[in-house]
Amino acid sequence: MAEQSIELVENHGASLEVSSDGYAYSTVEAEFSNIPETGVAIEAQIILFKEDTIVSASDPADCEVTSESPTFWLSDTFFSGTGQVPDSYCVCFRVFKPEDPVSISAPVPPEISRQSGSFLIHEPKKGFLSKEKWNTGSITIESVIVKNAAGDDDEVFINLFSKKPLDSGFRVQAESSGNADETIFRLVDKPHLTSDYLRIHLQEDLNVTVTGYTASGWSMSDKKPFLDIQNIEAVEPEVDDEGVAEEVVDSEPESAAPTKTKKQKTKKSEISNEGVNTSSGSWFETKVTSESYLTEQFRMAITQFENDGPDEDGDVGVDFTIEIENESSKEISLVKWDLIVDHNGTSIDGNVNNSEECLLDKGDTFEASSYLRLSKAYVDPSKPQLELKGYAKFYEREFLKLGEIEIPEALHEVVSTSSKVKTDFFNDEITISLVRLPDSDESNVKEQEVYLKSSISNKSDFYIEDIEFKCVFIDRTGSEGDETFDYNHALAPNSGAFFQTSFYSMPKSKLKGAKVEFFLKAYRLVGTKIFTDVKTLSL
Amino acid sequence: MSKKETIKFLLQECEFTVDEDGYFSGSAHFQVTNLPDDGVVAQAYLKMQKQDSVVLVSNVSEGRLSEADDTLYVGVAGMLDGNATPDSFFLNYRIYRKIDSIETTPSLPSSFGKQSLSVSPKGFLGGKKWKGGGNREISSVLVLNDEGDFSVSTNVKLGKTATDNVGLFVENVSDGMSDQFVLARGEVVSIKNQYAAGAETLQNRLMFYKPEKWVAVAIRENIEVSRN
Repeated sequence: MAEQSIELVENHGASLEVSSDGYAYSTVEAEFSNIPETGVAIEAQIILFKEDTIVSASDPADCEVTSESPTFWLSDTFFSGTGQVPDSYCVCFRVFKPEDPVSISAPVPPEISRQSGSFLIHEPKKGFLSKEKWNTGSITIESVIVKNAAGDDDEVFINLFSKKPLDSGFRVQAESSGNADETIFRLVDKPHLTSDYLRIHLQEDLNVTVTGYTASGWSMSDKKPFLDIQNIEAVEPEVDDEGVAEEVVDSEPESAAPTKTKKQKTKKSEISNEGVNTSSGSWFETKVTSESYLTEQFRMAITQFENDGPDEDGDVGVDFTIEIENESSKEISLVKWDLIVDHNGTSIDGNVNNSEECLLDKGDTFEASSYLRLSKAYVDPSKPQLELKGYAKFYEREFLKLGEIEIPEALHEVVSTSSKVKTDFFNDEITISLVRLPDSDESNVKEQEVYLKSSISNKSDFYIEDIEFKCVFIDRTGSEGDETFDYNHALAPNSGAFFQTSFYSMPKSKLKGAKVEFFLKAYRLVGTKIFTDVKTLSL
Repeated sequence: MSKKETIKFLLQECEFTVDEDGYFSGSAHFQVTNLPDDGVVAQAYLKMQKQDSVVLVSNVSEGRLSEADDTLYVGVAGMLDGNATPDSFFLNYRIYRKIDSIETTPSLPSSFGKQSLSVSPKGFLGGKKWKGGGNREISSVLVLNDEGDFSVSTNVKLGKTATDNVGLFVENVSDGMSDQFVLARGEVVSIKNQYAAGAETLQNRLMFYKPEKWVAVAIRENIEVSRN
């Protein structure tokens, strides 16, 4: 591992929290240097020490890193009590370097009327004396399976063989007439493997590119102290005065650095106010008893405003782009925004109820574009000024893993699971029940239904919005299948909600040995922004 | 011929279906014969073929097999239909054999909610006692008194077997026995929060299993795929 060296970003990357019930949550941001232009994949774990004794280690996780995004978040949780709180850590890792990729042109099967689509097996050509080889590093692609279905449900996947399972990995990209999809890096855990499915709308040409990766040996960094351990110990509650039994959960940086949306710029950028004649930003301060959560700061501007001339009906089309910068200390995961257009003292149009998920760190910007068609009747050409009013709301997210339930073999047997969760929003223990029932259509004996129910209560004194209770079906091979969810638009402080959802028409063979995993996602408003601007139409 | 060379996987039953959405699923049950007295750990997966073409590979199934429990179940599923529907399959398997074991007797916490940390005692010459071959060793054992029962976490250095996907059985013997099997790679593995019934003493035994090479066996040349 001479050409790779690891540097740990200690100032903000390594943290340790000890909950009131004795669980230690450690997170380390490992930064890698000397990354080639092609990027590499890293498999890593953190090892936690108290003095020189290992007290815990995370499971190895993998992640792709590039020179632009050279960090990898690692985390571990264990019961430390008060006596085994770790004081230092090290990162153990190995590097997977990309090999020369292999590019495969595959034919596309014709669409047919069958519901499941038409399939094609594409393989290396066989000659009299030799066979075409699709190799990348230690990996040989044995076949490409192409599924062409009516509509957009086309799929592509590969089957491969690796000479070095556990020491090799791969990723797959597919492209067809401008449509593309790709998998993330995946470790090869056995000699033969089927890739994840790429979902791509197939047209004329299909090109599949597979990149194999080869692993180095394991390396271990120097041991580093948790620098903020004093602060952590200072906030460690010895007495459970809130009645909070925290355990498992929160979730995100288990194995990957936060991802960015396409609309998001990762570098801090100045928002241009050029061409803005009059604009103002004002804060609506809401008084709340426990927490003034509407004090976060955001900058917002209209960075693009263009209009078409009146069309044959006299209507005017307007394109505009809004840019918002997160100046707050919070990580923003959802932006909701509305734009109202006033003309001659009255509101004439608007683009409202927009909601977009994102992931904005401090300094990141969010961009949203829209188009409005202003009716001729409302536009006075002698006064072409429009007053634009923007309303934006910014949310932080809480994401909880609620465990899983194996689907029982027997009908009508209610099974349940209770998860203790570390949450600022909800009750600390969430119980979910599952029951397997016959199909509603009694004559359909081949299929059954699975019902899922749960409830939550909002223990906080703020509104929680867009609460999603999601259930993911995992078949007996561990492959993710259908998803179903229930949704609550808003939950007032100190109130509760009931969720119920189900999987319908499930073949009995599919339910055999299967399980359901549960997740809860919710958002809390952390700030609002009102923005006004005057723009002039070119008529 | 030793027993090691005569382990065989005998197909007991298999079934495969495709539903109307093109979701192919199925399973195969194998009886494993000629097992050694102390059992083995086995991993297996199915490679589905259409004539000579590989069309789908299952995830790995694993199990601890003994004379008393000698069956292994392997499932497979994916989107496949039409002229890609499999017509035959191979079984690929490998056997894990025990290569080492280390036994510890950790100290026990006296009161509810407390946790003890035990490290290896040293011998006369200063060497660690919780050590096996190939630089494998138990670094520490944490025992939490969870309302009278124990929650045991064992931290293990894998030494030379760090890249082998070694199999680990952890047995805790107190008032009864509990065990857990994990596959591990990396320098260190933590086997966390393993339950053990409360008792005056606790023995923590770690057994290391090393995998042999994968073996491929053609199982069935013409399978029947039913439609739902």
